[in-house]
Amino acid sequence: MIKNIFKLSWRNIWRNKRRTVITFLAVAVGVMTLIFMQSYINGIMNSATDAMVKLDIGHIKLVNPEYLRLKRIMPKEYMVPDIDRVTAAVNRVKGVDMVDPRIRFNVLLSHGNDNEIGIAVGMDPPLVDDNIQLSHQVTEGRYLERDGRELIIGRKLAEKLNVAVDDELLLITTDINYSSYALAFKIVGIFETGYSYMDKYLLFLPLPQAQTMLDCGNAAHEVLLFIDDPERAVAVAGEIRTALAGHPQAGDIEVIPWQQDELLGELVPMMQDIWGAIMKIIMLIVGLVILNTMLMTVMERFHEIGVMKALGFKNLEVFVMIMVEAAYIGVIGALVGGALGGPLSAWLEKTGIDVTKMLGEGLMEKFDIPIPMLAKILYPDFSLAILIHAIVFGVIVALIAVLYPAIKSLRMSPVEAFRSELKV
Amino acid sequence: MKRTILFTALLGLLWLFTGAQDTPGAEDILEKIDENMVFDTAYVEAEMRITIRNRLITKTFTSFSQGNEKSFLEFLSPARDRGTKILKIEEIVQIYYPSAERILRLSGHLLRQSMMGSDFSYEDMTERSKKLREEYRAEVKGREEIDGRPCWVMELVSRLPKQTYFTRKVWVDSERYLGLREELYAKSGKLLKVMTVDEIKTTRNRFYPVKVTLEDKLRENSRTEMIITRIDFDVPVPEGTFSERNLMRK
Amino acid sequence: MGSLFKLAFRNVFRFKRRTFITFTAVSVGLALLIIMICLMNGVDKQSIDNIVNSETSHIKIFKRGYFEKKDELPMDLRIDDADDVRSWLSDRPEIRRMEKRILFGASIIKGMDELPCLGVAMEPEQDPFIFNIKASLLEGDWLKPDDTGILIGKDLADDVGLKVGDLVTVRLISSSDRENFSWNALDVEVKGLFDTGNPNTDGQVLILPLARAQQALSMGSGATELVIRLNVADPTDPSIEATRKEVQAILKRRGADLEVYSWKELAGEFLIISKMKTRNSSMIIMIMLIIAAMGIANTMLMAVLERTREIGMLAALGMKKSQILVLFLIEGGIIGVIGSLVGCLLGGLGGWYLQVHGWKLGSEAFGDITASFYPLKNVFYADLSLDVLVMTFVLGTVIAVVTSFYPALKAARLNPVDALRHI
Repeated sequence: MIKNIFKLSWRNIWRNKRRTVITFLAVAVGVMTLIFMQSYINGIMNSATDAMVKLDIGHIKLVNPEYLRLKRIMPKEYMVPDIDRVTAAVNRVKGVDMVDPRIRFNVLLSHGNDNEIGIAVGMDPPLVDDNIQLSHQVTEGRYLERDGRELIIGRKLAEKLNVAVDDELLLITTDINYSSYALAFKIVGIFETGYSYMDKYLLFLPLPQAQTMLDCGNAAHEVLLFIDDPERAVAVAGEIRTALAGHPQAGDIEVIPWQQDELLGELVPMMQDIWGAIMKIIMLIVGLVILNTMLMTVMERFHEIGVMKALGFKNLEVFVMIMVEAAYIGVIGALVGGALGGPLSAWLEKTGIDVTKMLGEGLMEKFDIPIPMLAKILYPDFSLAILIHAIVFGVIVALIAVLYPAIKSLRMSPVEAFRSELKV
Repeated sequence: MKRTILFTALLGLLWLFTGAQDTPGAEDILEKIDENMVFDTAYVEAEMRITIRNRLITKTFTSFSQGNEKSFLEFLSPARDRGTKILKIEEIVQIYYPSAERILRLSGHLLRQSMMGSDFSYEDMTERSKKLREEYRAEVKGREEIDGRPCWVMELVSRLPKQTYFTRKVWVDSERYLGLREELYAKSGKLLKVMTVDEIKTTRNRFYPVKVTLEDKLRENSRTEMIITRIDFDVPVPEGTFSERNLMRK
Repeated sequence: MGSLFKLAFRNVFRFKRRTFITFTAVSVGLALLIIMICLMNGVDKQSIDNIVNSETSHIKIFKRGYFEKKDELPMDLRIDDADDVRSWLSDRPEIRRMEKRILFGASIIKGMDELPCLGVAMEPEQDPFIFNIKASLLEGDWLKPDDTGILIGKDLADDVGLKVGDLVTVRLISSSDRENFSWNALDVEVKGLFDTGNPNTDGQVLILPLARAQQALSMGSGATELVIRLNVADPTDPSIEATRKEVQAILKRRGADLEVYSWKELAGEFLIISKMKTRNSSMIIMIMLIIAAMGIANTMLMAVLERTREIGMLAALGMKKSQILVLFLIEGGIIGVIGSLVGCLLGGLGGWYLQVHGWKLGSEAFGDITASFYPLKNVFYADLSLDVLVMTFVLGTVIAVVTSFYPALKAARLNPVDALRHI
């Protein structure tokens, strides 16, 4: 009898094509909406933290604890020593993709009679470009090569100094042994990131040049590590600590996963709360739609139930039939929704949504804000988990919707069932 | 008869009010200090010992000076500083950085930066005592003893509203006319720097400080000792010493 | 027509379950929308209030030319006759308080480290009526006019490692002119720490009594700005602009070489960012509205489909197509009105609750978001306003009616015979 019920249910739902199609469209659209919205929201949250992670925090950061403590003052002498050795140790840990050492120090900039204080950042140009596409932000001149006595400078800083591409800039600083040291650099490019902090104060130069200026040997202030699975940062950080334990100056190196970064650690839970709430509201609405539609399907056909009971079907069998029909519609609808929503979101993840069109380029120009470099295109963050959650949600709501009338029907006599369509 | 008595009395009063004869006016003291320090030219070899954050860094340099107007310094050690040269002509200071092969001209706030990491600022190095007499109002406040030497305590208050060291307190050795200790204050009264002369050498009837310690009170636990290892007065200065060309010489 | 109404009414209340679901969709959807909008407005308002209370106040008077260079803190462009100005304006009822202030470049020197910050010299007896600094004192005491201590922001204190009672040296820059650069230094005691919620203020400002700063900066009795707080409750009050113009006119008549600016011009960068955020949230609200409208449309459509037989009967009984259309529209309207009413009620209650208690977010050890320049804390308060309620009510009703249009059309077009046969 059970096998028959499945076949019968299937035939039942196709008897009224239009009704069935509408119902399962409702489920499909609902599931698609959930998939897309969750991906979109994840994308929004990612882009907010992305900039900070890529520019400043990395997935894991290696830093001298004293430097961290006094970070606002930027004390030159507290560094992570012996980068080669650190890099070798870190590369032995599985999952580490990129090792990005940085040096940051106050510097006096001189061009002719113009002097300004700036902040010089020594880094690995191709590496950083890989990571944040810094070269795309160079609006005049060209990007840096791996090594060479050249630098790129923020637009606003360049304006203050009255310098242009191909000009020479004298950089003077006090090294870590309190000697005054100067080097003349060639400005090869001017960049504009949209972040006023960067454009007003920063200049980038190759790491070896910075090390020469500070006379610090092969050391750096921070080493940003990027791993293939950011979620595992805490675990990987632990492995790195172990790997570094043999380093003679291990006490000078603190390993910090991004989750423990002060700023992010506060920002992320807050964003999750806000977006979580919004997502819940969306789920509520979608759930209501599915619920309503499914309910209608059953209620409309209550007289059929009466007929079935009159024909001799047992109460339990009728109950199962209702549930199975709901299951069919729910599962197919949800799967279709997943099949459509999934690939769409995955595709959008690759191509991104051009946010500027939505925010209005006109507004940006009016206030002369270049759009911050990593926020132009929003990439929804799709994952299999999202797909599965949405599908399961759709199916469960569909089933729950039908549960109430199905249970009620258990105790109804055929005549009652027959009549109830008119009433409700 | 009455007239004579009155006149004598007036004279006496005048004498009383102009103060005791053995304390000279502040202006005079400053002049005498100048006289002590005057020379046509000088050649100096010196060592700067900088104690900062529990580290001791030693630098050596040579210098040629022409009076108080021109001087040329060249650093010999440590290696990173070797070849760094400073040319001062009147108020203008220029630094040559051998690593960059470029000259930086210092002015304004840059002059108040620490020179080569020491407690001395470039401004401190360019001080001329004539400036002291022009820009400060001097007053003798009393007498004290420093290390057994009798001193006049002088207070100099700036005539100009914008002066890095608004008030200066100087202990001048009353026999040798040499400042033994100097305290430099900001306008608010905050003590900014303290200079003490630790060793004095006698040359040709002049008294010259050969070891001076300066503490920048805005830097915690920091002290610079300037030790002159050799000083020759009125030596012939090679032609072209005080020039940009000399700065850039390898 | 009247009978249609009566019929519509009866229909609505007859089909309890269906009506209930539809009306739940409308009311819950609207209530949530209201709460969200109130929250977003609240956040915005909070930030604006914060900036006005900690940084800009309502109106500031500067020497002509100061505003364009204000980022450089040009000490030579100062107001020497501020006391006169105060007396000219003292009898104006819309002005609550005025205060002379000096903004100057400064740095805190602790040990070997020197951290640049913003120096603010204020009048301790006026300031509490204008800014929220005294009110936000976390530790320590307020300053007296002749005090030798300073107040610093909590974030600044944390960065340098200072607490109440510590002695530090502060460098005050009295001229930023490159050639004429001069400064003074003071030994001061940290007398108190404040936490206004504005990261610009808490992370960069140190506060001194005006008299002490004037002396240290050789400014005589001058000031770089005259701050005016008005008797308005809300910074968005349009009378602020009117007052600004009036004050400017008065100053002009008196021949003073001064300019008057309102907080909107002073809060420049913040407002730009705030506009961006408004656009962002509007987009979200738009998306949610669409989803909600789809939900309502769905329930309406379902309702029609469910009642196919009944519609067939009505048609068979002689009801015209137009009448059926109108009937369904009215039903939609009724549900819309009632649903919106209840939605507004629920939303209003929720909004009110959040206005009083706020919504606490994120981790417990949270401070301020310094990543953006947005002055914010981790508790969000909603801002309930009648406008929002009324607009949402109208919106809800309109959506309900509009979304019933398509289903109503379908209903009207049903062939009675097919409809009756529908099972």
